[in-house]
Amino acid sequence: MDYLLQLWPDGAVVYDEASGDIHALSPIAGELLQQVLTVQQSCAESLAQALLGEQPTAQDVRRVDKLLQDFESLGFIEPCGA
Amino acid sequence: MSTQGLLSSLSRPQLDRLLCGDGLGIVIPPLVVRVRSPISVVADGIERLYADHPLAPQEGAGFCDFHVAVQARRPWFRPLCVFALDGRQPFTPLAQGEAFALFEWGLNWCVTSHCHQWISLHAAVLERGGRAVVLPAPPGAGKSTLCAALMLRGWRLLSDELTLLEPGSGWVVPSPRPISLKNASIDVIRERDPGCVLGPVARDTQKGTVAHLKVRPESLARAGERALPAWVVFPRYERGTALQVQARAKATTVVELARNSFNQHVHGRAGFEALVRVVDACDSFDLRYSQLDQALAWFDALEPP
Repeated sequence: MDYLLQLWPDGAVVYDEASGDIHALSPIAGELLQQVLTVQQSCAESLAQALLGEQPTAQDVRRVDKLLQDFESLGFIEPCGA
Repeated sequence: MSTQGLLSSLSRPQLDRLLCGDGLGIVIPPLVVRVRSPISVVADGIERLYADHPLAPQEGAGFCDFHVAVQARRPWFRPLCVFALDGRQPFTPLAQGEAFALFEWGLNWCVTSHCHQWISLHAAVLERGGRAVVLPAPPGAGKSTLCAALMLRGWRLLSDELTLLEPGSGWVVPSPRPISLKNASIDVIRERDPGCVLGPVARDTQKGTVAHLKVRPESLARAGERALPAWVVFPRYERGTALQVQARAKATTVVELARNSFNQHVHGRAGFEALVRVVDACDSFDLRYSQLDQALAWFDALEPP
């Protein structure tokens, strides 16, 4: 997978080199994708902790999980074991 | 590039002879174009709107980027015209009254389809104080009206229709050609500058009534000077609305620029990086306007980021 990611305080943009698609992301989604692209395997909880720098709440984990589902639907990631 | 004076140095019979013969070579920065056409509307438009453009070497001498023709078809009944590049005819024929507009549209197509040394964006671009404003917009958004009014106000026109971006450097290469005005904007611009030079009026085109506005000589004289963008502004004319300006997120600006690009995908990763670099260096806005003077005053007050 080859993605180019550019982060700004007001959002992020990612380029999918395989398809040529460009997607705009919210700031939090940009930060999360950066984490996902630099960590081999991870789960929503550990990613939420890495983003927040502290123990995440259940709501934080659900939010990250929803973003991961969005990334999966965009083809950025595949679920473990797929 | 050796040139032979300006197109205005030709008499009309000389112009007609070249257009009907081997072709008229015109330096249309950053390109050289050789055009042939027996249609008087094409000659009228070129004579009026390209008078200040340099001539390229004639009689088949010298290199030309594009050899184009606007040819007559069916002269006996509802005459038509066709655009040809190297003998190929990429478009369906149009009414002969649209022949000059077809020449302009055909040149746009030549650039967007063949000139992949640049990233071409469907956007006007003008410069003031060394910094450029890029105006991407879909048809009907009021881009060309705004562009014409800015040029008449003293902004340097780099292009009304195609922003040519150098992928490596992020500089915009000027391509000053006549500005395509449609419908009510023709009179709006004529009223603002009664001395402005307009080309042939084409009626009942797919875009309505179309007429082209001649580029100011100052813009043409500086066609060799590139400019760095400082602002990306997405204009939209909305009748009766007060001026509304909203800052845009950089991420969505990149996506919109890509959507308005003809060939960003051809450049792949480098194309994406070029758009990011432009947006990173620019302030971006959505602009809604109905009063041209209000919009012009806002542009005059722009400060580089």
